[in-house]
Amino acid sequence: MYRIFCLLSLFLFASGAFAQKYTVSGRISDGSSGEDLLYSTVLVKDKSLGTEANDYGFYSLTLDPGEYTLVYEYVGFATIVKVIDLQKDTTLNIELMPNGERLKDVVIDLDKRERQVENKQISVVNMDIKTIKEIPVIFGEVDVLKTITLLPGIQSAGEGNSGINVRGGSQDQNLILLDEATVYNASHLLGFFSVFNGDAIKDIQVYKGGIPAQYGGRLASLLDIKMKDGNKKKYGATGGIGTISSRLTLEGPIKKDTSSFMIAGRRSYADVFLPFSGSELARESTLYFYDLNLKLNYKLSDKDKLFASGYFGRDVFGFGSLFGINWGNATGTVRWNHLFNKKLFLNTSFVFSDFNYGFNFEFAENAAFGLEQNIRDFYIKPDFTYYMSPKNTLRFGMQLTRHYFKPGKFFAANEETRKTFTEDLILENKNALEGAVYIDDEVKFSKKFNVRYGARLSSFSNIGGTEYNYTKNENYAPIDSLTRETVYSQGNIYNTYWGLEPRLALSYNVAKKTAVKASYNRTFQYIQQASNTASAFPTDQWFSSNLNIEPQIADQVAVGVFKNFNKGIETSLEVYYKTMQNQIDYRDGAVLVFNEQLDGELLTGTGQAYGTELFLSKTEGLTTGFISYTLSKTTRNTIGINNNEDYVANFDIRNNLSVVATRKIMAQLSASATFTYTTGKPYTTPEGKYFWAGDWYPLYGERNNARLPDYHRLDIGITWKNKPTKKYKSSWNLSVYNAYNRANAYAIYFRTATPEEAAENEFVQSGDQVAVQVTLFKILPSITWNFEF
Amino acid sequence: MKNTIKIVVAIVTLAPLNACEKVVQLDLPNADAIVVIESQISNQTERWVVNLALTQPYFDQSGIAFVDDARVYIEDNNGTIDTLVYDADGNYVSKVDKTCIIGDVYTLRVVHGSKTYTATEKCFYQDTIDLVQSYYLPERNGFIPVGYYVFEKAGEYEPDGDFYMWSIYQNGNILTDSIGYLIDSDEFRETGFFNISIDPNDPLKDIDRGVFPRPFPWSFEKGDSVTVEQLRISEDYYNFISEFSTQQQRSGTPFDPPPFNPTSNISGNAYGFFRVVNISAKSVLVTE
Repeated sequence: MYRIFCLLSLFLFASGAFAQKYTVSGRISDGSSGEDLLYSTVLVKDKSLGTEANDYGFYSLTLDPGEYTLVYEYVGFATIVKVIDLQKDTTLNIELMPNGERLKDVVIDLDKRERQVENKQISVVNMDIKTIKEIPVIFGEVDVLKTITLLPGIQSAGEGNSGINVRGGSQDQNLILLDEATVYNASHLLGFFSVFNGDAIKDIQVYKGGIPAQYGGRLASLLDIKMKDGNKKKYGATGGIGTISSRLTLEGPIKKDTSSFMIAGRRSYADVFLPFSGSELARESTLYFYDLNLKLNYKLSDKDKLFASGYFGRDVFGFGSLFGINWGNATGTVRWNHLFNKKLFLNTSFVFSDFNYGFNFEFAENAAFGLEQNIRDFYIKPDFTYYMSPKNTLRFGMQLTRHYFKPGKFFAANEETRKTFTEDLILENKNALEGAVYIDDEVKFSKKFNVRYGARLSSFSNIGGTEYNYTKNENYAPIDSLTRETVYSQGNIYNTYWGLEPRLALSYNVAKKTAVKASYNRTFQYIQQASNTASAFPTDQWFSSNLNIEPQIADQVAVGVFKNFNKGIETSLEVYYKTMQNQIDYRDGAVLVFNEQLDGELLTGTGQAYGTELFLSKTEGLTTGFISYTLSKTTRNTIGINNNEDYVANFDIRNNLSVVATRKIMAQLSASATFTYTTGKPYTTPEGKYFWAGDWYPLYGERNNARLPDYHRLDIGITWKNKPTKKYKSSWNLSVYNAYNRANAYAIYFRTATPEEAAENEFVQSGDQVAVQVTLFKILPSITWNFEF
Repeated sequence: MKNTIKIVVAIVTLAPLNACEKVVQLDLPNADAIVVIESQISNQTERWVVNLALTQPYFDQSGIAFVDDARVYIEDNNGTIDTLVYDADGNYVSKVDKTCIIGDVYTLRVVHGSKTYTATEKCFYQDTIDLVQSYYLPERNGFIPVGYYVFEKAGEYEPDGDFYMWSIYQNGNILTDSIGYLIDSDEFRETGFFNISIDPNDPLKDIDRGVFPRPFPWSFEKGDSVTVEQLRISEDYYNFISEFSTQQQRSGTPFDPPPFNPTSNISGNAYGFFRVVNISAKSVLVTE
């Protein structure tokens, strides 16, 4: 695999020297900050030719010698037109200036609207960070993950949960990248907030399908999040003080127009107020998070640029000295951009990603214990882009990842305890190697018809360790006495899976501002999270495929129609169908924590998901916003569950509607509103009860045989911008979550009624079996002060 | 452990956020009624009792629907069949006192209407309890508050694959509060209730160093008469009780795993459990 890769690279490098045409190339950046403008477009006027900058703002156009008018565009920025006489290879770096206030009545010309339809990829959403900042969510905190759940096909895993379910996939089937580094757990405060600080983010791309060949490893989606580089022109600071957390971001040039830095920090302070709570439990609790984003970049030469970025975050949670839990991600990425010539671009990423989590208990000074778990990756990822012609862009590359899994270490947490608990209990570490090579070709056959096709060949190998062979009883539980183990020596690669993943995306412009698109992709997933709950817990263990666990596989097709209208109206309608193999579920009563034989608890089956997604947005004028509606269904069929019959998945949300509107009332005042409606989540209810050992107990029926009540809420917010000075801007944001105070069901469970409940409810007597609905959030006002220097 | 962690985390998270609960009225699906069988026979000489009732709709508060028209038999592996006779409140009783023979296999057969339900269990051997003793714990050790406790020292018949349950009586009354069921397997015999490592001649010699027998999880008053019943049970019943206890620990949050019915050993679309146990008992008077 590696030799083919090198030969291809050399061929392409050499072939550039024999071109008869000339190339104009360069970087497109924000003139006010120096930030690269990812995916900005360059068009050759009157020639039906053009290209898109890559995710480092680099573009390349190879043309016949002659005079051309080049049009440089990016949403929210003033278009620049350059006339060039192309008689040799030319470097043309462009700085686009922001349009100004986003909510001004900016009219986009008709051609631009047409190109937006052509350029929009099927099943891909590009979220503008400015839009995200205008949509306050819970506690007035801007949250990337919560905002994208307002888009079609992307569903929130539930209130108080940062997990997402995309097109019928589970939460661990989403690949979340922050500057190329995998983020294994994207939640703070048990999922109330995501780990992404909006002030540190530049761009978010969400792939629900049509995933390009350069990405893989997850079935459902890719969230590609890019950090800001840092302002190369001037120093600045932004931040805010809110109800739950405060944040500060500093950025500026290290060397003007050459290098810059960005550092963003955030910390919550709910724990400051807990001592004043009326609840004794709350008073003794600890609950806070902090995170730090850091980015450096340096332009070494016209051909080389270096980036270094890192993230470190931690959640700390506890109850007095009795119990504590903490978890956190740490990522580090070093990227090197290199231009071999004006047509061949290389980015090589060296990545470190670590997610660790732990518990501690202290019952007495001589009874203090801890449990730690960890997953750590190191990987290298070179990605080539070869701009063969304005009609043909070739991408190829590879990725090699070393995974380290530490499933658990249970230990005495202090010296007194160690006197009696002398040895740690350590589950065997697991190691694996995951590799991939890919090739992807984007071809514009005509002004109307584009094709992007490619393939990814992935592999996964287990390295050293103990594997178990199970014999199971009629309840699918391993029989201990019949379990056999085989020990593979350290460093021994004893099991390899291969996966061929074809990718295809088609686009046909049926008329002006109207396009029909289709895509197909096959994806493999080799690592997953052990979770059998409706909401994944941050400390749910990650584990890999092995001799007992085959890789998960998904095949997805999608077809869509995209149409833009005048006055900034954009619409799309997509239909998708997905089948999934080797989907993991767990036998009843499975033990998932600190279990050396975790894979013996697994059951596998198939999954199916299909749906329709409708999206309508208005991007111009004083009132902007969007309507998003998804009608979908996702089911599973697992041997050993639900009598081997189909059941709806925990995250099957049949209807999902979001309406978002933002209105500029006056120069300093704007208002926003978000209405969300979803069908209730499935859950399992009793179908009867039985009397046993002196009491009544529920008798459960089919898995997910009922649904919670439908969920809906309205959030509103207003933003007041103070009069800016030369150096300083600030604004106040007041928002209300769940403005009409609906008691949405977080969960429903079953028990016997208390005397107090009997007194409050006519239909209940003390001791009766009752259903109890838990509501998490009622109306929640919040206020945030934001500033920018 | 994971469920306990999740319960604590869920409670501590929800408390500060003032999550609220309210009783709601739901239309639940109602499955057809099925027979529920509860029975325990043992090596004790006593009447054998099998209780039969029907499942009911979850919100039906009309009381237990006993089954009084079934035919109930218990047969051993020697071919001896005992016919149990209906008494009252769903109880079918043997005509005379009976005793399970250690090593024998017993099959319950219930005929109700056109359906027949069966379950089979073995009466396993167990060593008798060596010792039951009380002690006073003068300082909280992190797990156990100050107080009087009772422990046992017991041996084992086979090195692996044994399962046990305990019933503790205080002055003749069984202790069944929120502690739940005491079950254990010999997988954890070093740290379980068997106290295998304890010197039977001087079990409390290291108590001053904080090393002491693992007691049963109730404290007593000086002068209490405490009886420890150790029941040798089948692996199937051990699993049933484990699963049953897991279901009682549900926190009512999305952090719960999917609910399920503990695994019954009754065949033929009935529910419940027929168990055969070997009981060994010893008593102690709590003194200092």
